Amino acid sequence: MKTINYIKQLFFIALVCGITSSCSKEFLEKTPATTLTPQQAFNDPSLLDAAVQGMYDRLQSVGYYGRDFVVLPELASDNAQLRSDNSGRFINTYGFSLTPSNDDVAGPLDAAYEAIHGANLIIENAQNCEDCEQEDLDNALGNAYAIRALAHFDLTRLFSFPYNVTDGSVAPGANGQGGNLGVPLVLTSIPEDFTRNTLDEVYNQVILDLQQAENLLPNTSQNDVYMSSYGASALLARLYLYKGDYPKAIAKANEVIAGPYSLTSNADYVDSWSTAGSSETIFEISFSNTDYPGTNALGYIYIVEGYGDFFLTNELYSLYNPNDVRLGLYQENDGEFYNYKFPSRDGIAGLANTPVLRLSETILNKAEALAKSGNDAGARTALDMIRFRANPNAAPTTSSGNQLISAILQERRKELAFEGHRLYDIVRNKRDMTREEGDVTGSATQTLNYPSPKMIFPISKDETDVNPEFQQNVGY
Amino acid sequence: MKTKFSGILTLILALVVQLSFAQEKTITGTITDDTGLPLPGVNIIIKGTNTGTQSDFDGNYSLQAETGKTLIFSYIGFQKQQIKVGASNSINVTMEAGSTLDEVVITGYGGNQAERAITGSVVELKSESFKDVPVSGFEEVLQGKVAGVQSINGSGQPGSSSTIRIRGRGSINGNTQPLYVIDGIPLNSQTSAAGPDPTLKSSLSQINQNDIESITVLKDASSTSIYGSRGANGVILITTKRGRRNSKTTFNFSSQVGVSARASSREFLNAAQYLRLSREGAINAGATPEQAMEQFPETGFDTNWQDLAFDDGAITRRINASARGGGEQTSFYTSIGYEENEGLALGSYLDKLSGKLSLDNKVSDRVRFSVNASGVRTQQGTPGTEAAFFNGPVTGGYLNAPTAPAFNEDGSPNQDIPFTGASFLAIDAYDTEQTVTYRFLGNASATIGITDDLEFSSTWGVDLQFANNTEYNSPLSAGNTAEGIGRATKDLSDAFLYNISNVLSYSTDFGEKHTFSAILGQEATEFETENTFAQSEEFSTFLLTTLNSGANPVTAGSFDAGYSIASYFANANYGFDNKYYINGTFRRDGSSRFGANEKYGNFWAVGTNWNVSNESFLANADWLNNLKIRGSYGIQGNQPDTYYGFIPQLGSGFDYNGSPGQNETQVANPDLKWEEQKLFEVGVDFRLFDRVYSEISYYNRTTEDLILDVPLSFLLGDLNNSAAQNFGSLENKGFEIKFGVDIIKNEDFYWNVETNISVNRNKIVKLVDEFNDGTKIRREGEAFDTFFMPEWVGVNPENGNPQWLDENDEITEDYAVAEAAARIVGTAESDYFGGLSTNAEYKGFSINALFSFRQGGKIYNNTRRITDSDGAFTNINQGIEQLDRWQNPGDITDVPRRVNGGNNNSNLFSTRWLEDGSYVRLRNATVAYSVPGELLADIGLSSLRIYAQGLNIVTWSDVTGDPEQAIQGTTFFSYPNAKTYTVGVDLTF
Repeated sequence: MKTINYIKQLFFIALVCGITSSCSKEFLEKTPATTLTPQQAFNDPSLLDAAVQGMYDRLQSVGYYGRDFVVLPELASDNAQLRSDNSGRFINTYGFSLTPSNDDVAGPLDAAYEAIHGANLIIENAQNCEDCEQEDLDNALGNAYAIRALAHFDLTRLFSFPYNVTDGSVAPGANGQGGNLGVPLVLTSIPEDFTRNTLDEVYNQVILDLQQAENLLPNTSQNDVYMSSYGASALLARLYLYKGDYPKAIAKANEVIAGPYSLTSNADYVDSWSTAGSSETIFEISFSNTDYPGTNALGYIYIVEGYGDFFLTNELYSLYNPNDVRLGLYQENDGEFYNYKFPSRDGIAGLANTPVLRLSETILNKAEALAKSGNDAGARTALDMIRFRANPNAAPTTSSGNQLISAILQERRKELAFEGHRLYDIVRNKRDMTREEGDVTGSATQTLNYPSPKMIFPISKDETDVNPEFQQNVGY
Repeated sequence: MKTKFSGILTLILALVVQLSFAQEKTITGTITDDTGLPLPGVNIIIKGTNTGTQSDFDGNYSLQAETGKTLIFSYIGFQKQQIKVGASNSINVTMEAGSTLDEVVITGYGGNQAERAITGSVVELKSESFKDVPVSGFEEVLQGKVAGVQSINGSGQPGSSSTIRIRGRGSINGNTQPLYVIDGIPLNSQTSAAGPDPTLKSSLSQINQNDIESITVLKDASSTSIYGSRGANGVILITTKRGRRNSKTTFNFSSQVGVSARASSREFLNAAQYLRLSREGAINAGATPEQAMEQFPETGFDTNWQDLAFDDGAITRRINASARGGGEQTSFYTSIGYEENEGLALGSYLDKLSGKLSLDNKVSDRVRFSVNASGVRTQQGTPGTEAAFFNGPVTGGYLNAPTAPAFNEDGSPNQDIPFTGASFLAIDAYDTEQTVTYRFLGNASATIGITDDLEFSSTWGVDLQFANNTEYNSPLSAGNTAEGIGRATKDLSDAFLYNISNVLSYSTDFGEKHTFSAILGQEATEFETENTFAQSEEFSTFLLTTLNSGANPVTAGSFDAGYSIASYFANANYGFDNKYYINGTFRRDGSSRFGANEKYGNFWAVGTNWNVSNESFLANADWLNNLKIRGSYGIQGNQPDTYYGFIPQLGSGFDYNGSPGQNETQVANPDLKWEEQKLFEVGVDFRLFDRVYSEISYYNRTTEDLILDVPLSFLLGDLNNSAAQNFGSLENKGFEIKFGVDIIKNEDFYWNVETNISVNRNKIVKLVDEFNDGTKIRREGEAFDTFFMPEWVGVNPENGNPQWLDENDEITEDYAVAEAAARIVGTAESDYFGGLSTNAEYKGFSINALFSFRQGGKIYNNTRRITDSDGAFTNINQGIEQLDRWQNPGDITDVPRRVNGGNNNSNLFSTRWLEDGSYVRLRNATVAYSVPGELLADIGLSSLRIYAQGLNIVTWSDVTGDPEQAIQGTTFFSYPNAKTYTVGVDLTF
């Protein structure tokens, strides 16, 4: 009797486990049918490519290369003046009265980390791709590293003092070698550390990422709306210049200059800004009539047909020689000159690609690096490439030393105006930001003496409320 | 070696001797009560088996049993006795009168315990008390019957779901409904996904009320923690009818027919009044009298749209036939039922056809199994009854201008109605909106007695639901986006749930005074649902209505989802001397809805009670029948509402450079878990003079880890920068009091009055952010449904303008100022609520009445913003209250001057529409007569009962409309609830 019972018991225990299947772990794993999980989403070449496109899509955000990131350092500088009858946008940026609750500073922070997240997902999951060829993988990973680097670097330009800052009262930890606060490095799709890394740490990681990108992305110039090996090199040239590592900056710049790019000619210059791409475009963000931010586009805020909220300061305009071809990019309206670098395309006001890296900037990076490392002759040659393209009748540069550096910086200002560089160029050269009398609207700040806490932007309150480990910048 | 061998030999010998003595013998005896009268029908069972018998009319019994076995003698109203078979072959038993403490109460997982052992709050309702109530979903019968339980039906659409709240609202965004378990299977109580408005299609209405034997409500931790991560909102156990062994087959037939009308209604303007007000409003807006006449001309029609929209003579009908009986081994119960419920609103109805078969079989002394299957088909019509659909009979009945004719000259419905541009008469004539649902519930269980004290039982069950929703908008019907072209939609969903549970139960007595029982169990639940949707447009003729007749296939889609739960649980009860009881429960639930870091949750409870009345110091207190003090504390959970809330998800549409792009749309949240609740209860139950009884409880219910949308750091790269996380917390504290008196209790006459009163105070403890939606605010420290809006103070007698309070509490006529000064003005939570019932029986007659009531709690009547708009809306009918409008300086009234286009936003959100929701309602009253047995014997019937009853008969309330509308306190064009009168007959043979 007892044995029979025992057998019965065993039988039923077996029955329970065998049939119910709830003893297996998979029983509790349920996946949705309508969206993909990351493990599935990188499964084949077309999905992997879709992930790459999705990452670039984040760069198109209005907060990033869609508009805000490109206008913030221009409006917070001596390049632009606010039209008194404006649409109410970027007033605090222009006036250097930003606070952490201002939306202007939330957009770029949000979009850049979204792009970084997309890059991390690709880096972590690309190996799941079963049918991918090696070149598909290399292309995806290369793009991911490149964009991750670009986004981290861009964040430091907005929210950190430059590498060479030494004043610890505006930049805690400053030691002249990037010891000041950078931004949090996010290198995994589920980050665990939310504190700010030092600028040096960020730069080192950006360098590593860009070097990976150089190796993985093909050498030939691809479609210039994606990063390429040359794009990674060009970005490295810029970063080394910002860092003050002039020999490496020069070396990288030379690699790019030796590449398949050539300066747009004087004759084609103005027109090249109203078409997508050009012979000197290394990397620009693509926008099309079905995929652009509409009235929130970069061009729209500048052109009269759009909001026309900002025009050139008299001081900037006066820097251009009357024969300078670049004057063709500015149109007069009601006594002031408006920026038409991002005009219209196909009749759509403000539709234009946003330039990120172009040969002219690389050449200027090289010139500045040469001049700052004492090679005045080389610097003058490089500088004159840009000057002669702008005005073929210009006299060759003769200055040297600090004068030469100032001349290079002035040319940089004229060439890269409104492309999102001005404030950074002022601050990394430890100069003051001064707006002349008559170039200021209302009670906006006229002068910022280096080093002023207002030379960098505040971290959005939306972030610091949720993540207090993201230390706020001094003065905000 | 040698010693061992001889030792084993001795053992075997002893065993043989033991076995040879353990033979079956015949035990006989007589069972009497304590006065010596024989007791027939006493159940005698050999413990640990299914073998047993009953005592005959002389109280004699006889059965085969082995020496050493225990015989259990039980009989309702008497104390259970357990006697071991000894040497003697004769066992006579005297049964002592028991108390209600011996009544057996069903608890979770097939358990049942004597009332005295229950440490918490468990309330049972038996079939007789609710089977004839003409409601379309059985859960509606709970209203006013159980302390702490609110049952509110917010819509009178037959088949719409009621809200059941046990001890207040326990979640902010998550599920607040209790878990329903039917015959051990956790019911899929979600509304099916098919069709436009899920709240109209209650899953619980797909069960035949007549097949339910009892409903047990589990309220406290010691009873609900065994349901683990699904028990936080309470548990409702449904036990269906089963067969009876050794019983001649009895047939039961019951039939009921009745009529329904609106329980509350409002009066609207007739054509003359409507024109007068409209013209006055035009003139006040600046028109000349001629212009006003032109804008609002006489049409010669005066249509009463409410009469056309509502049928105050809607018929309900139900028939049930069942058979029940059994032999030695097998018993069965089978039934078929049919019900037709016409809805009050034109075109709405619910028909139900159901069938059930349950079989119990005793395979051997130790093994038994049972099988249960029930199927229900419902067909429900819901034409435009959702409030958002302005062309439905509810809104159309209120708003269609009385000057518009109902029919054109050719007899077709007139659709040229101002403002709505559509007629529900046309929709009823031309369109279709119907859902057919098939529901199948089946389970099979087997029980094996392993030893006398230990038994193993395994239950396998399924809950299948197929819903088929058809919607056809005819090209002839106006006022919808398919006007002129026609649209057909088909929405199919199926839901499949299966559940397996295996339970080992052990129960024993040792010593004289100790009782112990325990269960150890395992359970697995899996649920899958699939939904398919297709739509086509462009119908050349209204005669063809199927999808393929539409020339343009607009869209098709499908969707599926599912979840699973794997659990282990244990429960132990110990009792000492029938006085002290303690029990403990533990459950471990793993769920597919929990994130990877929180896959399994642990839930537990401890309960204890003290039967003070069994103490020796109260032995002489004859007046005290029982006094019990009890308490329990435990942890339960509430599953996350979303099935995949924690899984990172990617979506498409993020294109770049013309190439398709994807991005993560939901960041991974491996920490997502259940909402956790701590429930503490303490209570006292007593019964005095065998007539007066009461149960009083205090509870404190704190729910934490409420899933809320929490902002995320940008660093996570989430596209919304927020995600559902366990964050918030909520608290409910309250009292429940049940008090009853058997006023008269003798052979001929029985009269009982019983009341239950509940007080609950809800409070939000932790939120992410305050949230304000225009009429309500969600704020830490306040009740969940707290009203927050401008304070209305009336009408300025000088100019007829609306007035509110500004932030200094001074009068302002500017709505913008009033809006900025919005303040907390009350909550939807009542001060207290409950029920009062009285039952009287005299010879064969019985009268029962149940009142349900509530005191306090506000209702915001958002319908009045439209129906009492003071001219803000023109071309729609208005309530007659609008006739009291201000007209001349000096008029004192609470209705502002009528100005077409609106009078300073007088109709917008404010306390003007906030009403006191107190009410008393005669919820149910029945007058019945049971024909005495002697008269019936001739006809061959064993019982015959005829009755007349009413549901929602009278309501005393100041609310405009029905006070039982929406538990969260806001109503907007709700389908009125019905009052129903039925007559019925119930016979058995």
